[in-house]
Amino acid sequence: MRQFILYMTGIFSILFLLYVYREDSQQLNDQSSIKIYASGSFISSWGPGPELKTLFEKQTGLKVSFIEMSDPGITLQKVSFSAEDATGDIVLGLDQFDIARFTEKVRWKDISHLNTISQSIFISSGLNLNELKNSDQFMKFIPYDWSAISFVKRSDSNYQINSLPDLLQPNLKSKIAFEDPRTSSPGLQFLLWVASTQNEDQAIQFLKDLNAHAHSFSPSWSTAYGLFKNKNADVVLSYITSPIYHLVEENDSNYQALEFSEGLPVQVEFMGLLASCKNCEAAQKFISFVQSKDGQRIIMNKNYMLPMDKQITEGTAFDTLRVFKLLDFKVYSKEEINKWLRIWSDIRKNDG
Amino acid sequence: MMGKINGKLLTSLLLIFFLSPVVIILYYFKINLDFPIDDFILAFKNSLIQSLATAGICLLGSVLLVPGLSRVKNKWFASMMAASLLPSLLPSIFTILIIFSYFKTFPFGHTGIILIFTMTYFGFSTVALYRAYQALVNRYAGVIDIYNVSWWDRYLKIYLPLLKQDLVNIFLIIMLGCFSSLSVPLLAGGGRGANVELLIYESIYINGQWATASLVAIIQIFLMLGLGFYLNQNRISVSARTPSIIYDFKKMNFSFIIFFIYTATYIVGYFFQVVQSFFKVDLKQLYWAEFSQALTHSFLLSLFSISIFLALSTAIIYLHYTRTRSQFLMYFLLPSSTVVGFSLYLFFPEKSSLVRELIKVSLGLNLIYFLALYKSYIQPQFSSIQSQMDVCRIYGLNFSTALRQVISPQLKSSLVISMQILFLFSFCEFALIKAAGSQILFSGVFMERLISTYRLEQGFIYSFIILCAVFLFFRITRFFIHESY
Repeated sequence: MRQFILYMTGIFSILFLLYVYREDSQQLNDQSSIKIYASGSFISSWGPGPELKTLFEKQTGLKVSFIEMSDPGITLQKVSFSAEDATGDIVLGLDQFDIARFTEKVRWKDISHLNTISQSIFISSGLNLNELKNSDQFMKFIPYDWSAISFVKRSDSNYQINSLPDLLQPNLKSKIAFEDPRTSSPGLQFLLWVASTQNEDQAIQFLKDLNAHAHSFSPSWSTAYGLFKNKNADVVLSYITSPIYHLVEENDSNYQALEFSEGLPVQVEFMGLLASCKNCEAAQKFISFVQSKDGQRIIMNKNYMLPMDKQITEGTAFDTLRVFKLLDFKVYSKEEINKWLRIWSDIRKNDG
Repeated sequence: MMGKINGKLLTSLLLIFFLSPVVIILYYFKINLDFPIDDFILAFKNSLIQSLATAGICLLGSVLLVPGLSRVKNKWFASMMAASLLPSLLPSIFTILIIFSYFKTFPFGHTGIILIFTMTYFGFSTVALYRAYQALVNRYAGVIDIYNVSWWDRYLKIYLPLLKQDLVNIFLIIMLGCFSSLSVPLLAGGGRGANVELLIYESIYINGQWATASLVAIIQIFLMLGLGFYLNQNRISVSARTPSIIYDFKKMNFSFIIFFIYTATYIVGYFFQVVQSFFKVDLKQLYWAEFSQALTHSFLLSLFSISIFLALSTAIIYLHYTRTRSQFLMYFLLPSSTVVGFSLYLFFPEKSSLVRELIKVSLGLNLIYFLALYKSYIQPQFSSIQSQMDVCRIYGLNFSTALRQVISPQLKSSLVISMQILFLFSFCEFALIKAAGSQILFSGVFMERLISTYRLEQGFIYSFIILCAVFLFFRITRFFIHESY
């Protein structure tokens, strides 16, 4: 025991000396760099963050540092408390639901003048973002990637799924892995997909039937996808770009995203500039850079999401993706989201 | 008198420490009196059913197996015991996938939740009870042999009543683990998945009501506190409630076979996934630089966590030494990693250095795990040490001398095991680290990042490498401290 204590003391003496002599500030305290809140997967070496940073720094001479955001809800809550003292300048990875929850709670700069991707480019992708264009909320956020949400199956399975009611086919009983809308963004997309394509009574009945029919409702996309990869489930709620990942990274073409006659809901990722930004001008340059062809290409290749400009996909695996019928992008209010989550919660509690 | 005042001060400081997460959150957020009482009752009922059933099954199984296991003389047995702890240490997604792979139709609902929880905690409960039992056997074997008491009688009438405190502790720790789980009830529970942790999650992420979440957490703490006191106050006649099973411990060791099957079920499933992953993944695609950085940070985190653990242990041992009333502290178990993590995220600045990040996360790890580890491994030793500490105090021996010469040598093994488990947690934890908004990459977070970006197979491979590295470290520390267990 004595040796162990000596050993521990030694280690801590070294650490203490390092603490005393090290530059405490690191990059986060460096006022000359742009600080960007982004998810862990975005800033990991296989995500788009490092490559975006390198290229942007090379092109502009400005420094970029990422602040890991475990969950936008947690980070933006902290930002709302910090007010003018918030560390970061830009927030990446906001979906339409985060925006509904945090437009009022956090102060954002109007960056609509930086939006370099025109409406015609959205339309070339099959995206209808008219509602986005007309919304005041979205003057403060710029979309940088997107994907439709759909169900993915293995190509060698024989399920014929063409519409939402097809999900209730008897042969699909306990075969589909869903995500719970209370804890997962794709799950919430699905809930609102059902809500927007059927009248309220039909939608509630459909959700009740589905509740008894599904394989499972996972707390996260990763668990649902794990069940699917593990062959516990034959179909999974995921992104239309999921098969591209398997094709590119695993050289496996045995995955297929499904077309739905109702059209698919669209998940769009946005970036916003905090009103408390310290390096606002440089941050605006980064926002423009993310929308550039180089930025969009990096995000597409590393994030496995579609770029806002369809031209970027030409000559890549993303170009092989079929053209899906998409639902118009819809801006949901916080109250509307909460109403459907409450309905879902009641269905799960009472009919689970 | 001085000692008593210091003791009271120390008790107050410890109480503030253990309650600090909810205090911090309530400082930042206004309490919302529109409290969802119906939802809470339903959630609490579900949590209670799942956790009571799991803790009951695990404990009953352990109580039946431990006497048989204590007679096993097999050089692989210690490794098997260590392996049985893996389900409670690795990410829950691994356990979920392994269990699902054994079922054609998984029994969703309470049954499914209890099944996964039992798989997760049975190894822990057996190992913890086994250790407590072995300590008793070593202490009383001589006396009992003189009176020639039969095996079954000595177990039912002597050891089990003496193990009551350990049984209560293990029971509470398993309950705590079940209460704090979000993913298992949500996935396997259907409507029964609405538990207290989900209520906390909904309050935070959907409604933005952190104060409500904290209020739920406080109510949960006090309910656990009440349950802990109730179980301790009401003398349970363990022997009367243990089913009488004719059990010949001296012949084939049935306990060993059952425990082996349990451990093998998880390990085989786990290794199957790891081997499959090795075949599927091109090893050139692995992210070694990032992984080694994550391992280094986790190693540093383990050192910080262990230091805080030792400081807290010393404080509580001091309270025992001065006979200060502090038993109630042992029940301030904080189950929600979201509440603990976010309170630390609020308390610490975002602009942070490596050392501050390590301090933040290691405080969080101790807030969640310290009392559970202390109750499992250190507290059981006090029944024999307390009288020696009293003698030391009466004869005027100061605390540091008593700690060095009397207490530490007897707690050495328990401390080492607690530290080893904390070491492993430092490498596997991710929920707390993420909620704490840590800017440093740790190995648990690294695994989670892989899993959440299609790379489940790589997650299995890295988890395997982490386990190998951790067990290698265990061997090295054993060499350093000349510890036989």
